[in-house]
Amino acid sequence: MPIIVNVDVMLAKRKMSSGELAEKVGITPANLSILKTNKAKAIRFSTLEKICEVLDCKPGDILDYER
Amino acid sequence: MKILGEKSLSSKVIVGLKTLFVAISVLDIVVLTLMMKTINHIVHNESLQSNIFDLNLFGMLILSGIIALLIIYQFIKIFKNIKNNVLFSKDNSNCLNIISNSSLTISVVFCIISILVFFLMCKLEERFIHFVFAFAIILAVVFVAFGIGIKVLNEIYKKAIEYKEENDFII
Repeated sequence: MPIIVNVDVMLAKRKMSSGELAEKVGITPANLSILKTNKAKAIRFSTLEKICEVLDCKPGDILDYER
Repeated sequence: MKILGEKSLSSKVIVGLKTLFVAISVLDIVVLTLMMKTINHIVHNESLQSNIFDLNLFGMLILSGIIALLIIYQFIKIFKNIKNNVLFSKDNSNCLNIISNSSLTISVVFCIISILVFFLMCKLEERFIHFVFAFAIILAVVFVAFGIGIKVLNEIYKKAIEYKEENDFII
């Protein structure tokens, strides 16, 4: 899939662990892992909103498009 | 009424299916014994011509019995999965596929039986032969309908599994 999820990069920038993010967003670590490994088929706006809120960033910082 | 989980309808159905499995196994053994007796009769009296029909009929009944056991076994597997709350798994879909193929095979067996009976009907004028013929035809039609129905159901089930897997990857 050409959509790349860059949650890892943002986590490193914010110096936050995956577990902490999962807890604050309200998703399971397993689901966050699916997101990080680009296995996810889709992401809900509510989840994206929460991630942006927790990481203090914009959707464009997390999602990227590669041909 | 509780359908999924322990002490539910599915666990009761499993008990019923297991009983049916044993009953069909016993019936198969009885038919096998009768078949052996017929073979013994043929060997000792050398009257193959008069017993060939019985032999074919017994063979077909044993074959359809074995296939029926396979179908019941697959149903037991499905109901065990339902009992354990494993609803949308590929294992269930495979079971349904085996059930539909087995049903279609049984219908073919009963078609052959009906053809054999039809030829016998031309020779004998006994009334019960007509009942056997009608019974074989009805069973063949029922199993074709059942097999096709399960095949269609399996396709719907496969789609449901696909949607479920996709849904699992929506975060």
